[in-house]
Amino acid sequence: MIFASAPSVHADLLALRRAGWVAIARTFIGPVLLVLACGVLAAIPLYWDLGWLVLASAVLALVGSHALTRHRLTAALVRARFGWCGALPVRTPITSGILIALTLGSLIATVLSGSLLLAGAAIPAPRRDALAFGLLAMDGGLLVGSLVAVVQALRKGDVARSRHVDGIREPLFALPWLNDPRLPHLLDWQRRSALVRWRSGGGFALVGVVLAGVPMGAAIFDVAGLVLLALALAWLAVVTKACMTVANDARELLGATPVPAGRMRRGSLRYPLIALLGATFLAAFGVLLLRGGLVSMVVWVVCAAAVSLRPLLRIIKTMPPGRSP
Amino acid sequence: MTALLSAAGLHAAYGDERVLKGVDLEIAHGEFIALIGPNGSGKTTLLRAIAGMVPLDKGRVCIGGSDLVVVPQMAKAKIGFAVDPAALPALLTGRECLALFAGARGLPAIPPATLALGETLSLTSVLDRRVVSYSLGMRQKLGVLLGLLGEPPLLLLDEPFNGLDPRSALAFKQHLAALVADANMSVLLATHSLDVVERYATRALLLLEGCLRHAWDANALAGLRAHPGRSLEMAMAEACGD
Repeated sequence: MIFASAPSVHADLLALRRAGWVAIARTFIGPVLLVLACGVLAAIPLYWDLGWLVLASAVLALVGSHALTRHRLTAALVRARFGWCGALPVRTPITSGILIALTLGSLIATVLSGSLLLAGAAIPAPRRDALAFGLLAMDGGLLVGSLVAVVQALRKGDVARSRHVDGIREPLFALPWLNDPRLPHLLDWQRRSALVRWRSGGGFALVGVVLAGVPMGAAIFDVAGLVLLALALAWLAVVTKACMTVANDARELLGATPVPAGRMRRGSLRYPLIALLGATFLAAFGVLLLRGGLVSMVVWVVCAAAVSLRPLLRIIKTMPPGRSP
Repeated sequence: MTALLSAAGLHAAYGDERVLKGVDLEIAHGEFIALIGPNGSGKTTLLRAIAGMVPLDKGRVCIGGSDLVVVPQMAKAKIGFAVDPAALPALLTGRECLALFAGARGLPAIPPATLALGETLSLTSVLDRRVVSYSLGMRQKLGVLLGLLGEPPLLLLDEPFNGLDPRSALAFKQHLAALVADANMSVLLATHSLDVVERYATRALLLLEGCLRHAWDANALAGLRAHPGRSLEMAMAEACGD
């Protein structure tokens, strides 16, 4: 079996399979949300011109698939090179080749599911003739974004750099009162973890690519509004996921200490809720700049809920170690 | 006198794998107890169960008279569990980890005694560095400091000497012995370092296949130390049936 020659990939796949259908579905939720986000663009008045809607969908697909693929592939390569089997005489090209094959397989699945979703949604649409262009643009964006991510992740030094990325940069404005006095530095831990994730997905460089999807001649306020909306959503997704992972690790780390479970939950929720508040404020400002109105804000809130609800619920439902769920 | 730790009929399992099969254990104040046994006998699981980090299928743990399930905060306030070096948060500095644990234990700041022990273990100079840059030995020292923080009455230590340089290991052993002798603290130490057990423990317990099978009290351990042809290693091998 080919996977036997790449033990860490084999182990990852076995773990995924044993985790059940929910875990497998979870690995596809990111790309599916991405495809749905392309549909959401149509709710923004700036994109009521068909040509720009198609281009913006392509850019969104490109940026999103790049961030997702680069993050996942780099993490898998780090596990393969520095994990439990790092000292085994496994040839790096074999592991990389298998990971690329899996990435492309997942890409094809995403393209197919995305096309089906959009085709389904377009049946009642007045301009069905535009469907082919829309699908082509979105699939092209997914493909280009993933391929660029593959090249970047395999670049010499990228994996080693991500392994040692420190993520420690003190915030511009220190707000020590945000820390729970019973859990000092938990907030710092969450913030740094979010920063490391943000960087491994591409960071602020993605903003430049987002700008490429802004209609020519658009007013500066519209451009700023659009960037704010996209940034707020992407940052919120990264922060809530990072906070969920840290909350889980902290619960395990502090399992033998007398910190009450409720306090642990509240302490773990501080940073993601601050991020949610900040992101909502940014998005509201973006909507204001876009003159989008209530509908645009509701659409953004739905998107925000889609990316952050599960991590937030997981933090709330966190059980202290030693107690059966 | 009330026992500091009273564990009765502990049963725990990972899935279908039964790891603890009815462990009864009592520890009094000022005892230094060593838990020995082959790999996979359940030593770590027993420590984690006592710390409330492994769900019990059956059994009851009381620490200082507080039931671990009924009043977990009160029970956990009386224990310190050295942290597994692999579980330390890589993105925090050593000092931030200490502050986090101090807060979690309800202390206003990192106690001077903890910082003094850090100095003894030569950890002070790296406390402001991120844990990701620590060697195994440094992580082990930090994990031990986190367990000892606030000097709770019962210390649970799982192979705390792994990766420690000889000088630090000696200093740590002497510190533990002093805590037991002077501060009346109790230690439950899971280890394969039988020389440490022979020299420092007041009682040694052999855990085999999830059950406590044999115990050596202070007199028996003194007898082993005094006999040139005997050792705890031999006694353990005999008790294991080798």
